Amino acid sequence: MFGYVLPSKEKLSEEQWKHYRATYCGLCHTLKQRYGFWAQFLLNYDFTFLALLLRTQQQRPCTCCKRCLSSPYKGRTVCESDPGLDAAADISVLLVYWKLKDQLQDERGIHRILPYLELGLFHHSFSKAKQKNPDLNDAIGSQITALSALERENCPSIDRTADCFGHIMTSMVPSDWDEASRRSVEQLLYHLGRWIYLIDAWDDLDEDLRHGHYNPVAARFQLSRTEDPCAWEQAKEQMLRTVEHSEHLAVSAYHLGNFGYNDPLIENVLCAGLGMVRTLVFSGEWKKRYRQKKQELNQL
Amino acid sequence: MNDPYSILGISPDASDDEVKRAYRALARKYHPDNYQDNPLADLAEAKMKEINEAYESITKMRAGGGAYHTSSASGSSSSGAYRNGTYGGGSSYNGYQQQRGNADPLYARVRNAINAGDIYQAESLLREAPRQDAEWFFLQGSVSYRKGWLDEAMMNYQRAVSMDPGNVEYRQAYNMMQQGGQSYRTNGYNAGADAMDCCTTLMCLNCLCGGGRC
Repeated sequence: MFGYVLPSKEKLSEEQWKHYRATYCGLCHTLKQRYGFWAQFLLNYDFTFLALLLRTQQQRPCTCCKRCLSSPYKGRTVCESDPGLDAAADISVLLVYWKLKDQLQDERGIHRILPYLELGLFHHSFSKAKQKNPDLNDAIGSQITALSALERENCPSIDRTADCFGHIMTSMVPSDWDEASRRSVEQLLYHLGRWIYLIDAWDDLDEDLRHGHYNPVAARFQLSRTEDPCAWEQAKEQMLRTVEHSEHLAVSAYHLGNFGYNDPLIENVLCAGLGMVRTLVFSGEWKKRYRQKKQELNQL
Repeated sequence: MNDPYSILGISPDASDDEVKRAYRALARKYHPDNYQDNPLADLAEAKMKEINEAYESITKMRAGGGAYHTSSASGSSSSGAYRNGTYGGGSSYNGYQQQRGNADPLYARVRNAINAGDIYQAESLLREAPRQDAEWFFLQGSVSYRKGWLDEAMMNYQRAVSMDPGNVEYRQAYNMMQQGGQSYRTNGYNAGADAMDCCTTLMCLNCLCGGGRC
């Protein structure tokens, strides 16, 4: 995934920020524990949010102090493995697997080398994750296949393509949850998935047009590189509106869920974090500030 | 029933004012207008009912100076002013039951399917329609909206409005999309309506929705 789902640090209490960090580190350790050394490099902020959402216990999770590659001397507070972290680790591995497979199919010549090597590197992790979650693997696989078919036919509907991504996200909700929690988290994840897909599409618009790649926003608004600024402004306005609408629907779904200790963090991500990232992406600042932001988050 | 105080998220020694404030904040959050056409509308409605009952049981308990009752909360009571007045248990929104003299039976079936949450049925019925008029586009927009296909919902509502500009129902749906689905909401970080009286809030809401209803 893409790392757009972030908390807004300024609006978090010290305790909640530490809890976010501990969950982030917890996911890294869980990835390593379940899928080996290289799997740590699949760590991503989006999946950290997923771990928070899928954690079922209501109380503060247990933490311990662990050292790692990025902090080899001074240990860090790390959340111990729980069903949320385990699920987020499994999903990270499966999604990367399908993304690489898709890349391998789409790319030609020399560009096939990198996904090919990565698939080899993570081979064992992938087969393990598939074995543990056969249903989830099938669900992700079928949506990714549908999505790449739509992309190949240059689909002009942003809803149809984003729908595949939304459904990938909803398939992550465990089927044994009670109906009300399942439905509300599914709706939350659907709109979060739609949001991620559309934010990413806008972020990549320039680059995709330059390389002649498919971009859902370009296809929807028939944008080309030479298009007059007016058409771009109009497209931007409509994209902003529809992306914000998904944010609102994710928030209204969140209100119906029950997230216990994680509640303020989830609220922060949905009500402040998404808006912050959206503003940065649509103003073009995201790409510039991305690295800087990443460094900021890595401090502590 | 669970402890009414914990439902409202307050402690049993909260003042009457605090109880009222907590109730109002929650009632605003789960108000049916925030869940119009939302596939989770039924869950929001259940939550609203729970909050109303908790509030009613607290006010009753405090008015009578009595102990904590658990069973009589849902009965009709003297403290039910809110229930039937402003945030009443019922929604101001009645689903797709537009009453028309010349209602098309196919569209009536589509509306029923949408109300029942059967989106696939509604979609296949719409595919059978012999022509695509303003109402067809409106209903197609509603189906898209339920699926979370917000861009197509917007385009369909727009089409419906341009074909029948006088129709209030179509215009309301289109206006809602124009505002990014935000009727009036307090989602924690941009609260600010707390000091507002319920009636003021509802009046504002009415304006936001185009002022067509009520």
